[in-house]
Amino acid sequence: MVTQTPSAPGRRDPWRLIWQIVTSDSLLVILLLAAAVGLLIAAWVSQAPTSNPAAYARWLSETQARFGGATQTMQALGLFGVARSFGFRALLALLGGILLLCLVECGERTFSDADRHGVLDMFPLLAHGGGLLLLIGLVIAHLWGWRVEGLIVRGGERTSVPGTASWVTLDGDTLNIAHSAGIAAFSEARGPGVRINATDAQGGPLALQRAEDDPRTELTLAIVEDQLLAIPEAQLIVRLALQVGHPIEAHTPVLVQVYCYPPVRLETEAVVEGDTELTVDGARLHFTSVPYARVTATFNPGLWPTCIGIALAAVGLGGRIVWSVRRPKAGEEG
Amino acid sequence: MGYAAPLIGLSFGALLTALGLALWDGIRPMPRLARAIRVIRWGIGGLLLIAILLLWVTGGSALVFSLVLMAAIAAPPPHQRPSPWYDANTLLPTLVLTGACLFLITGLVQTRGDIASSVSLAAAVYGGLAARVLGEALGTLASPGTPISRLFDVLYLLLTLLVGANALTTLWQRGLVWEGNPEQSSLLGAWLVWSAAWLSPRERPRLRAVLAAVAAMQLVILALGMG
Repeated sequence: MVTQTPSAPGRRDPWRLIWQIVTSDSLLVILLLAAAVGLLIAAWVSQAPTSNPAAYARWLSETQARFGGATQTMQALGLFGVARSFGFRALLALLGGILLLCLVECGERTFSDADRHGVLDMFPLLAHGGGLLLLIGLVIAHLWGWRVEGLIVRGGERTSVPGTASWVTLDGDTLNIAHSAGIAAFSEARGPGVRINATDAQGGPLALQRAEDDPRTELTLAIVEDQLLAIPEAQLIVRLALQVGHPIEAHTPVLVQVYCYPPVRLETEAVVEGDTELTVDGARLHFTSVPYARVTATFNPGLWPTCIGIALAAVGLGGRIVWSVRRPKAGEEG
Repeated sequence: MGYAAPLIGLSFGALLTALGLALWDGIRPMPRLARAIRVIRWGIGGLLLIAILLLWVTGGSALVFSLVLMAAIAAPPPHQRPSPWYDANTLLPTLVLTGACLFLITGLVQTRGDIASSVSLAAAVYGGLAARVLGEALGTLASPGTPISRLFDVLYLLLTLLVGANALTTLWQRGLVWEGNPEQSSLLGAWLVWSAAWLSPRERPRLRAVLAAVAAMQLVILALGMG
């Protein structure tokens, strides 16, 4: 129930005036335009990656080549991280506040007005409420969610997401991604990988050694870049590399070069595509193609509020638009 | 592309003629000029439609195809004609699109890519409708008493549904509403500007027209980028 305190004749209530300004469509227009400018800057200016230092270094060199001396100024202005900037977040916070006040205003008008139009009056409520719920979902995701990029998942293996209890797997045959409940995992790229094991002339397993790992009898490697491993018992070094000129896909052929030492000399080389076996100085090397996927895993606790918010906002806005199209031209209002 | 080029060239010439007639009508009003301009515009639409069919059959650049399709959708005259200046302004987007197409097919800029996929076809249709709204918005700037047609509202509805569906899909597949890639940022930015235009007060038609023009231009550029 709206009660009005009678004011002195000719004297406007300043609180009512402020309320009218903050719940007006004009302020909403200004905020929407400001947000649009931010997004368009983000679209035009390549945003700085935060996933890993190598990607950042590559981005920085490209950006300096594009903008030259203006790069530092643009960086100081926060143009390379619009979504992460304080200004943009403050803008979204203000937008959320305005939507809340508009929601209160719409609700007051809808439920106190005796001359109601039924479901048509619900559309503005849905639009404002949906927008607010969407922003709440974004805040929840920002505060309690996480995102891990560049996770290498080899076919047939379960890979844990660092720092979490979640995991991601890649089916070696279908190349489909599976993951633990509650997260979203998306394959950004796929590439070739190789599973290697080696046996001596008597069929006994040979240890495979990489620089940073302990010796193992079987290794599965994602050929993201050149890979080197040694077979000390057979005095062999194996190099695996992508073939130049081939597009990088799940089943791209992999070049295998086997060197013996000392002195280091190339003994044999082959292209692995599927299953391949090489025999070098009595040692038998078995190669099996095992693709990998570069996966981005995301945990978004605000997923459902965001989904519901988008749906409500779309229904509310859609209803308002359809109503504005179908209303008679005479006596139309905004 | 060779068979379509003369038609596109003819269309461009006809557009210049229609623009000249509209400006003449504004300076020295003459009877029947309005009708002549309407006939020319429908004729341009027909020529460009034939050019589209020829491009589809003979193959060619997806960008040229998108430009011609957009120009063909934007070419026909609007329902209202409050003044010759309105008419002249509504011709401008079609003129620019056809001119850009001519520029490309003369080979000064190399384009590549086969004729459009279904997604870029849909984007081109959308861009064409946005070009019509752009024309109407420019016309409203010349004649402020003339409101933009219902096409503005219809396109806003379609854009809202598109943005909503895109957001839900991204959210479900990748766990985020906004990934930050340029295409998604552009689409979202265009929707925000269009929302601002839709919410702006109808008592200020010039502001509404400027915002509508900016939003429509963004959509046209986005649609061309997908071509």
